[in-house]
Amino acid sequence: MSSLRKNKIFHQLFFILVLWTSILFTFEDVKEFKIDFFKNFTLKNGLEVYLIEEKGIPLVFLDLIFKAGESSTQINYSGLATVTAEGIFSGTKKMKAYQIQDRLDFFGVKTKIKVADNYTHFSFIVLKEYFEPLLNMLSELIQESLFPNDEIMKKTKRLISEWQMNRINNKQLAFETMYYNFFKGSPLFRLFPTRESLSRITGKDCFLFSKRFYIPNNSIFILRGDLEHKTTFEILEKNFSGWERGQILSPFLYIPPKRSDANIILVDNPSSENVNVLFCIIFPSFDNSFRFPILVMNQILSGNPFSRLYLNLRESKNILSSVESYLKFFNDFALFYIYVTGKEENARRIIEETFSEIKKFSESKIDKFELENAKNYLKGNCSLSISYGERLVEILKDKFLYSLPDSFINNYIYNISEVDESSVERMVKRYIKFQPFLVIVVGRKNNLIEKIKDLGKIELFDNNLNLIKTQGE
Amino acid sequence: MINKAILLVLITIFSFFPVYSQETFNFPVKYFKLNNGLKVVLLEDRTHPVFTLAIFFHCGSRDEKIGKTGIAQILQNLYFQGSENFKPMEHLLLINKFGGELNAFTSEDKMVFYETLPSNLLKMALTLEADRMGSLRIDDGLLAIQKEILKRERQLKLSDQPYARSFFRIDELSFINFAYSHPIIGYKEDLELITFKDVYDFYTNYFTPSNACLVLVGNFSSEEATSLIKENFENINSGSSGVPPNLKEPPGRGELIETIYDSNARFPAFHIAYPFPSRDSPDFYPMEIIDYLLLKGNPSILKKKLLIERKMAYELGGGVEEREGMSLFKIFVLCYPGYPLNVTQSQIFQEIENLKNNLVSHKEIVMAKNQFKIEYLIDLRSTLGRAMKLGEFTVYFDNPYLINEELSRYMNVTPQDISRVAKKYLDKRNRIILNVIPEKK
Repeated sequence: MSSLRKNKIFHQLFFILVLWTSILFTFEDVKEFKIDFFKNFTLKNGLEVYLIEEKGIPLVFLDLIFKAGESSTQINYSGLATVTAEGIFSGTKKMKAYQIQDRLDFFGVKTKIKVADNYTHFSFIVLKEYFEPLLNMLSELIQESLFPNDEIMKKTKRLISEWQMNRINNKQLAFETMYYNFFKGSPLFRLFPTRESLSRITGKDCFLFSKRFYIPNNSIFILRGDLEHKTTFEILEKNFSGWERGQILSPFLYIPPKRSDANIILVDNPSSENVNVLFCIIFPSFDNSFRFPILVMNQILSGNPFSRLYLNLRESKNILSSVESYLKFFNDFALFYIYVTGKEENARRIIEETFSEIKKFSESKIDKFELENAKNYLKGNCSLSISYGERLVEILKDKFLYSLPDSFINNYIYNISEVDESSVERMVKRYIKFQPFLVIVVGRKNNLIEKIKDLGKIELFDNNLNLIKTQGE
Repeated sequence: MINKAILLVLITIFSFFPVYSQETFNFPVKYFKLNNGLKVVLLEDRTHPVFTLAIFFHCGSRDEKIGKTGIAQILQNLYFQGSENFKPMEHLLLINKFGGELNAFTSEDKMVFYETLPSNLLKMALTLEADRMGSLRIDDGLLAIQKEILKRERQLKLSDQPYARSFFRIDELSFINFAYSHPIIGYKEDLELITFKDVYDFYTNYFTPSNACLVLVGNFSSEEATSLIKENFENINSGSSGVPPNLKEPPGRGELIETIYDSNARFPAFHIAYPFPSRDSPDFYPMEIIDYLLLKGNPSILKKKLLIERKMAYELGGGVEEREGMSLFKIFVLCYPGYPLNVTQSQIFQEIENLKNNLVSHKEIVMAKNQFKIEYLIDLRSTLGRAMKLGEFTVYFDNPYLINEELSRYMNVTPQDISRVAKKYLDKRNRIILNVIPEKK
């Protein structure tokens, strides 16, 4: 028997086993629990603090989140939010960059910075004994950073170099193209800096950005670890009470997405050896009551190893190497995408079969076992990731960014349990059934164009998002 | 008189309480053995509604014989291929179904299988683990598939991966004793010859309760867990506890230098390895701090010198590799062309001589310890991290309570210890150097 045939049989048996496991096994479902194990208080200057006490291990996790990201930057200054965030370690009135780094190295602090379109997130992990010295330092970094030009130039140079490397990163190209098509002309597209925008940024720009947006009443502080409420409050008061409130700018209005009328966008990446396809769609006029049914819907379609796309296209038909999907929530809409990779020779089949699965999904009833699997996976995975801490930070961050009610956090797991077949079917009808997905294909155009040209109108871009040509109708 | 008596009583009472500092802990570890020899370690933690269950087998690639390498790795994969009551891959699917995480690994000295799940699924996890420990399904068909998979994996790792062969070769040079000198993934010619009997014998000799340790950390009741563990595991035959192989290395071998050519490598590189004792020796702990001083720290001595100041290399790796018999301290350097390898090596040896002859400053050692400590504590924070430590301490030392004091052994390392251990083990007569030269295709 050929190895190809053996492979096919293996995948079919795997598929059957998954179904059998779903139906027959009667182990308990994942139990719900309330997420209410944190304290919340606000300093006089508006700095909102969440405190999660975890005794026993002398570590503290600090997350400081500002409601400002790349979409808060001016036009032609994409990248400013990122450079500013990195720039706060470049020097203050009292400390030069190397002194700041030296101190962080001595404490053993682990630092991470993430800048998205609508937030800037600083994460620190520090030994308990250095918690107060770190807070003292952080207070100075946020309020008194000078952003010296020579240090800022080092950062922009490095980011330009990264931007250059991203010209051959398939996933990066796919996402930039998605944002270009949905958000070009709106502040949301500023998430992706260019060489030109980065080259413009100066220390003064960073200074002004920080003064405008790094204000206590535009931020939250999440502290987890071996801390106690009263002492922590006193330390925070001591270090941050002098941090002045500022004016919060109104969030920009959502601008309807400008979509190309092409069905498919092909981005040429000559260095790619496989094909990468992004199927994306906007869920407009979004309301928070839809959050949980949409989360469950995502799991059923493509979110885990039991999902339809994973089982049908990866395990059973073996045309995909990987499947992932994601929901990104904004203030009043959501962006949903499915990202798949596979061999070039399967490019056409990947697009056709994925669309076929999406169509089946939007026309068929949701199976009870599928629903329970999706919910159990979400609840279980959520329990695990809350125990690691990061998920809880993400939930608190979402509450802050989108002004969600307390019940959003407290009943997070219960809300998943409450989702039923009819609410998922309503979501599918509302958001998927009647809207076309945008398809973005990244790979070698010379190898792919012939394979997919009959699928519809194709816009061909180079890896700098320049339109080369349009073909087909 | 009465006051003195009271004082004496108080002192006696308090001397039984462990000193609680930031470097010692009070984890309420429970340890017992079942009638069939299975060691059980429980650590309750009600902070979050999850648990980690890990099964440690005190065996690994060191228990393989000449001509039969790769058996342990094959058996690791077979451990997911079904048992009496569960079909192939069903274990994995069930864990995934509930959003859990699972994995396994094989090292020279231990084989570990673990999963982390929501806390109400303890019964399911124990049922799954007991079933495969007691009644693993092994047959010729499954064995043939796993041999192919391992051969493909070996091919992928070695065939066009630059420097891959050198990572195997440095171990072959560092250990004379076969137990540690051969790769975990096995030799290609051996994989062809492994039979059903070889794998079955390995399973029956080593995957037994008397050679295993079950570790459970997280949100559960010890009473309920103990009852479930007994119910599921006590009926499994104790089996043998496996005869540990001879792990001794002959002393005083002297310096060893070898050069190999790699057609996949673009840049010259080299490995340096220094053998030193394992965790049962007090010298182990200063060596871990030396690792941070020389390599892992930010910035470390060698990073500063080789990558930043003199730009002789663009990648630096290595560190402490622990084995139960003898450990290695390794340094791997990917060099810029233009610098002869011996020049870069001389720079490293000079820094090591500095370490031996000049006590590290207070600032340097505190920084190295802080960076070590934060990684250690991040690990200790998770149920998985604690399960791994408890399993290792039990399997190697029969003492899971070490988890409460091990960190203090690292934190008590002094600059004098650093100098002493560096002099004793980072010595020319104790080192192995493997140079890797790019070979034109």
